[in-house]
Amino acid sequence: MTAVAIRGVRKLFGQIEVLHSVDVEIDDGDFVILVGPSGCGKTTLLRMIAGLEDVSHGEILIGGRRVNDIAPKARDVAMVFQNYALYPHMTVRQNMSFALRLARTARVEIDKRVERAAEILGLGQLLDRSPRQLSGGQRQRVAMGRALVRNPQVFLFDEPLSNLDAKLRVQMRAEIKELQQRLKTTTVYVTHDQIEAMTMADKIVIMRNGYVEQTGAPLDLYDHPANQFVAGFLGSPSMNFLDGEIAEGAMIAADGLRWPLPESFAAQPLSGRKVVYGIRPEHITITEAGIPARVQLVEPTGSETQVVLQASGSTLIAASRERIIAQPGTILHIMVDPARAHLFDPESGKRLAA
Amino acid sequence: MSGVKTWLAGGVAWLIAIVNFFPIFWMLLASLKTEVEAVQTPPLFIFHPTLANYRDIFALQGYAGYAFNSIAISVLATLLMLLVAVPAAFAMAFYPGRYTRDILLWMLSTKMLPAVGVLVPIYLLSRDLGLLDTRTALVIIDFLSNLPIGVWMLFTFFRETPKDIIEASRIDGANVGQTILYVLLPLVAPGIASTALLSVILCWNEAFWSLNLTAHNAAPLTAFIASFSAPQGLFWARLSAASVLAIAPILAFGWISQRQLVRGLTFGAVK
Amino acid sequence: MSSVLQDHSAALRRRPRLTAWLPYLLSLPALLVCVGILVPFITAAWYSLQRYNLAMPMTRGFIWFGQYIDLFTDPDFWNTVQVSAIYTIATVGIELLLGLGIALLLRERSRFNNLVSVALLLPLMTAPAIASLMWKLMTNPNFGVLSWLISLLGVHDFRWASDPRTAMFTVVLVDVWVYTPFMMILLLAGLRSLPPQPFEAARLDGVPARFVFFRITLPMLTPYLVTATLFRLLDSIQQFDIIYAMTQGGPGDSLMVFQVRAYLEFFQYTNVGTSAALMMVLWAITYALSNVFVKQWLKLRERAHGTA
Repeated sequence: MTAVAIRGVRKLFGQIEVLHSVDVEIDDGDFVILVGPSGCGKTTLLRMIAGLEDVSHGEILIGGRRVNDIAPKARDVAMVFQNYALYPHMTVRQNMSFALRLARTARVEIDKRVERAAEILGLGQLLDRSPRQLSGGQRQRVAMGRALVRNPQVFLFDEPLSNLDAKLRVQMRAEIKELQQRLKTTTVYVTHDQIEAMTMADKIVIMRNGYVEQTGAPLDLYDHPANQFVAGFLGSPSMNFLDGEIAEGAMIAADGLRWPLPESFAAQPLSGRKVVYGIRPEHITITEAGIPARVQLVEPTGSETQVVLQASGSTLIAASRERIIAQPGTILHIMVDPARAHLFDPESGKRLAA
Repeated sequence: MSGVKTWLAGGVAWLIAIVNFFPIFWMLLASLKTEVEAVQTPPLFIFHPTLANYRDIFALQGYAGYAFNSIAISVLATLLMLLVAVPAAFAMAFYPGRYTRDILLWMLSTKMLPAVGVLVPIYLLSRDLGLLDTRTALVIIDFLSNLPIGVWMLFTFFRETPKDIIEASRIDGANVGQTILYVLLPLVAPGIASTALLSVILCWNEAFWSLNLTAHNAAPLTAFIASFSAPQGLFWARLSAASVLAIAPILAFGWISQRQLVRGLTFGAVK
Repeated sequence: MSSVLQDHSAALRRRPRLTAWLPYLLSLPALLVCVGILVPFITAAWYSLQRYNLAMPMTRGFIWFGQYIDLFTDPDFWNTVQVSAIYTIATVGIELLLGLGIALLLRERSRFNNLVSVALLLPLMTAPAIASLMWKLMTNPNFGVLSWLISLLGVHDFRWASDPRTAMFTVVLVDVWVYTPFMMILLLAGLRSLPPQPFEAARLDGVPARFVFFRITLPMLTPYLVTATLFRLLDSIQQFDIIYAMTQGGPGDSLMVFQVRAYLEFFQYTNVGTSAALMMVLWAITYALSNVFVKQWLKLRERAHGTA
């Protein structure tokens, strides 16, 4: 069953169109992440699902029901805001029970749900504190608790981790994912961090400038990006790109170096075609013989070594699980795995299929 | 800051505090003297204090009546102002229209009407409506005078509220009324309090209209003071006592609510 | 400004029909009131165009701008302008400087400083008319304690408000005493709300204190300075209570500021027309001044919110 359906949705602020005919289908129980650079429209889309923004064109359905004209409170969604938006004059318990009190839920039921949520989120000790007395991470949990007690059809998260420090972020990432898997509630999550998207999502929706660039499972998008933008957005360090031309069964770069093509391309006569050649850092290996590249910088992260190289007029990053020791300025040889190379059309950015 | 500097700064601060407090203090002293002592040269710092002046004022001059008028007028005018200003400021903060900014500026500009300029029309109007020497007239005038500042300040306070919290309450299921009652009002309550405080103080200290539009019945404390300026000259000791009684309540009130007051003064003006 | 307002409105928007009417409905009383205030204003304007003396009702008649021409050719009028200008500039200027100085002094958040700043509120809460009386008591040439104090310093026969040469000084003194706290509170709030980073950076770079003050503190404080100055300017130019309570405009006409003069024109000389005309002139000046300031203020706010 489709929990949330976004069909042909466009959004205008005055004369400016910020979302151009967006279509997204979200299945029941899925963890879907809307990801993209600032200004791509992901937060606007989320707010439209919540009902905080109107839909200019198109429709949004929740649980099969069209909700365009339905007020937020009647949509059965709960939202966790980026800045938590806790009620400063209420205690944690009151914050969490506010919605239920408004709905005139029985006192017993309210207490039960609050206790349960507090237990899941580790807020038991903090129930009678006021938000002022809590740390950032604790406030974030209260915000989640507030959403949790409502047992909504859909959870909405608006960049909830961006105000936390790095370590806490990693921890919360896992907790949120775990929570969602346990509760199996449909979740729509907005972030600009592609790592969050990769690690947490069942399905990723990548957006840019109001368009959906690609939708799919994280690894699908990683291995088969639809265009250059998606290819460069997912993965850290990001994919390397080289300009060149196909000739003689290989990709000839600006300086004449030959880069190997995937088998399917090598067989075809695409001679003369200008392309952008993409290869991920982990698919570049440092070898004895191969394409020469000058070392610029060696960055060991502990678990892998990233080497910044200059080749064919571009800066490339190679990532290896082995420890590489090389002085800046020396020449190393690299080899790429041809099967992992991608070709993109220079003008449209679209990936070329074999 | 070096030790000497801090010490110096502290000293200057003390000096300023003393200078600020001294006139009030001196008047207080004068009120405890006899008429003769009050005008002695060189001025007396050491003397036998007496409460005779205060007794006189309470007994003979009907202080209670004037005080009651001051309280009644200040409170009523403030309540009236809040009643009108809160909805207006709310509307302007949350439902801005094309003209919101212009309306605000216009309200501010009514503050620029010099009082004397409208004295004659208002005096004549009050007389024709039979409102001379009534508390009603002063309540209305004070209310009108303080409305622009009230709206302006409340508008600023309303806009301070983070919109996230309001959205959160909408998603939690509150309708507009519930949002206002349970979320917005608690957040703005300090702001409303500050505005009310400021209004009370302004009403209490209002002298111009009090003098011109009232006689016996509705005269507040500020007009009361004027009655001590007899043609024979000023009875300083009594005058001082009357003045002390006129400003003491508001000073005490202001002292108790000092934090709110400062907040109101600064927020309303800048943000 | 508009974008911030729009954000808030989105937060509370409901179904279109009701929302369209609600804001206007809510603001209606306030609007009506402000319109109501216009009525006396227009009446006064109407009077200013007439020759209207209550003592000589038969001479009443429309002389249109004749009133104003009489005014502009009357040396008393120009005296009023001069006196008002001196008063306003002196009071606002001194209060600005003093207020800023004290605010800088009390900048650090310490218990002592907070106590002092609250104590400084007292003059502000005193009715200006009564403040005048206090100072009148202290500056009486015969028995005033201040007269006595300065006589100890060798200055005798200082006549304070009784002498046309020193009357202005005296009333300015009273005004400064009453209203400097206002400036101070405003500027102190401004100072405390400034971000610490630029100052920390300057300290690290070894920038001299004077430079920090003039090139960093003052520019950042400008919105507050403008606001405070505007409010005080509007108040000062319309000052009545303090001057009237002190000397009723005397001695002579050394303290005849606009409102005092207009008041006396009406109550002593029953000259409604002249009184009204004076007030129209004052209103025009006030309006022009505040327009300039408000434009500056709005510009500064937009700039501040743009970068904030």
